[in-house]
Amino acid sequence: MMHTSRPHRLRRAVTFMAGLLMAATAVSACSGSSAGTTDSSPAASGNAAVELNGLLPRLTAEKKYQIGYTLPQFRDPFWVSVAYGIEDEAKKAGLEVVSSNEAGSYADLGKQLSQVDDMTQRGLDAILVAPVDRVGIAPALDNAQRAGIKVIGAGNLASTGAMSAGVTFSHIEAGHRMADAIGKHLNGKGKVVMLNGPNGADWAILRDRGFKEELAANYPGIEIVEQAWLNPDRAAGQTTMEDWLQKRGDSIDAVFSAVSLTAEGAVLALRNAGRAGKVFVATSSLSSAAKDMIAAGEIQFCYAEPGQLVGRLAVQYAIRAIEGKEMAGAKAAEGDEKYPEKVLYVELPPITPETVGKFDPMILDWAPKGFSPA
Amino acid sequence: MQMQAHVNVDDSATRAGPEVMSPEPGGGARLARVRKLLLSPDLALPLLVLLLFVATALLEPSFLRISNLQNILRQMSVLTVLASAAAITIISGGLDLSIGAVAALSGVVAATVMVDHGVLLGVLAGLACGAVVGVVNGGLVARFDVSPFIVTLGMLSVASGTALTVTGGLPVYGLPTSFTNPLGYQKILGVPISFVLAFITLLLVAALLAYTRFGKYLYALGGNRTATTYAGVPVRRYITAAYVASGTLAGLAGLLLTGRVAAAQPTAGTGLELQAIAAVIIGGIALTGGSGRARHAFYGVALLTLLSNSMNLLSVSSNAQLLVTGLTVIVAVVADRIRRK
Repeated sequence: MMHTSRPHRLRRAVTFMAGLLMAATAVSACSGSSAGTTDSSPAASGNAAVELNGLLPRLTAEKKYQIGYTLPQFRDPFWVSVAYGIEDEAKKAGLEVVSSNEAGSYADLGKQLSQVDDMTQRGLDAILVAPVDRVGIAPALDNAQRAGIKVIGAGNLASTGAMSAGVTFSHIEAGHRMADAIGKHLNGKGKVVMLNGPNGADWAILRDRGFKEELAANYPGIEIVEQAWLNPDRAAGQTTMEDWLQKRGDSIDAVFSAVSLTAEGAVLALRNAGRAGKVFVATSSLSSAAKDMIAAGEIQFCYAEPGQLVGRLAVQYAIRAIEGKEMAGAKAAEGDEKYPEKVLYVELPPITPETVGKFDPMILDWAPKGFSPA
Repeated sequence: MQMQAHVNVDDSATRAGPEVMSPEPGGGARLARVRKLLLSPDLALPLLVLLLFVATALLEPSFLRISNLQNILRQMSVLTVLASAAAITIISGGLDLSIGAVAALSGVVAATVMVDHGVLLGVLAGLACGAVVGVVNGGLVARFDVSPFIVTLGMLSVASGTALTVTGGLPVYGLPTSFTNPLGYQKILGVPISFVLAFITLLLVAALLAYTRFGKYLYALGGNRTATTYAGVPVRRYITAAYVASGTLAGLAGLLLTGRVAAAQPTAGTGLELQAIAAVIIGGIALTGGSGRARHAFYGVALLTLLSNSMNLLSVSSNAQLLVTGLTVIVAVVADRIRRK
């Protein structure tokens, strides 16, 4: 008896849940599409001076060149916005994007190498690359160069002369700026905790280096009391900050968070401890939640990382490379790197509680809702 | 110690003749029993947790503050539910590697529904999402007799890919405060609500395993699947049910996580499945199936969470923390092997 009735009940329960899920998916699909249509498209309203932030004049290509790109991973909103910048700028400047790729993860150098090889085989005019490994990508880029293809860095750079130029941010500078903001706010004296990026990632290491360099040089009275290397993840930032608050309570004056996701977690911990707004939080890369927290005065400083702008400028550099024109604004590579020889380091004014109302992330930073690369 | 044991055995053998003749167990056997008791998960682990607790309290007085203890309980809640999920499939002789990714997917689905249609529908959608993934996992494992390791590894990828596709990689924000406040910081009688929910779930899973026919069959399955089949148990149905339970619990864990961080991150569950499985094994549930109780999973969760909290309070570097956690898992597995010999 039991044997026959139980599975039946089980089956009924399963059918019920499956039905529920289908209903839920239908509901969420509907809401997704409606949200997409209400969003205004920045492309329609933008003009060249605004979209390129006055850094370069918009060149239109002499011929319809064919370009392709490969970026680290589209699970990361930043790279999606770089992809959007590339595709939209190509459209406006009269180029054709014939190949869009992601390596899929920072661990998948092999995939990115074959993507570059494939684009080389197709004989494109230029390839835009954000390498997952700045040294490991070199052989494929050297091949591309030998085939007469221009290689431009978009967001991340490579350690080879084959990459003739690139557009990115200075991570060391980002560290400097966050240290400056904290140092000035605390009048050179106080205790700061550091929520770093993942250990091993070169951007995380450079930001850490920039931050510490600047504190040591100009704010020796500021003491780094805690430090953790974390994946960009809200829960990780929150848990770590909760524990530190337990240990140090009100003695923490400021927080350095390498990216905004961990900063968001730290703000949640500060809120629960009644310290949000009283502790100075400096971070980098603007998410929509971070934007709200800045407006509420819970995050006081955000170094902008305008992904869309980086993608656009990389396309403009590609046109200049193909047509042999001058790369305005280029500098030598930072750190101890020799290549690429010409780098455009993008820097926007930081986003603070005072400026956040005026900053429209849809123009320089975020991809419009509903955009999906490739 | 080892030398001593040998001498004792030799002595008793020469004095009292062959072991079988002796009504008293020999010194070696007694020692083995002591060793067994000391290594038993019901004594060794609570002792270890207690030891860690006292040691941290001595080294760092802020550890004992009520707010820190509440903190630890809150940090335990997601892992408690996920470890219960892992315990069910492992006891049945299977494995569910998809629970972390399913938690993230359920969180994303629940959050998306919740923003437009209210908390109740959101919660139901999240749980249903977990259950449906469980049906697929269980169905594939039971029907086609394929390795649960591979099936759920594939499902990990599918769930994670779906979560990223649904959200476009962006976290879902703007959840109703009637959902995020209780799970984020509110308490009942000083105990965080998220932990109360997680602990009730644990008790339910414990009862399910210990007192129901479902539970008994799971142990039988994990112990010897062939014998269980010959005994007339509808094996496939119970295997499927185990994965449905695991998926649904993963969905619940996703809800707790989403409520705690007030956002649904599509990548939130990364690595959580390994922590949950580690907790289960540290707690003394054999990876080969057929043994262990829900409370053992809880011991493992308590140890891992306490370890992380105390290392943060003692300013142990992130790299060293990884090392210590890894060593704990290895030591636990070795202890488990010694105990079972």
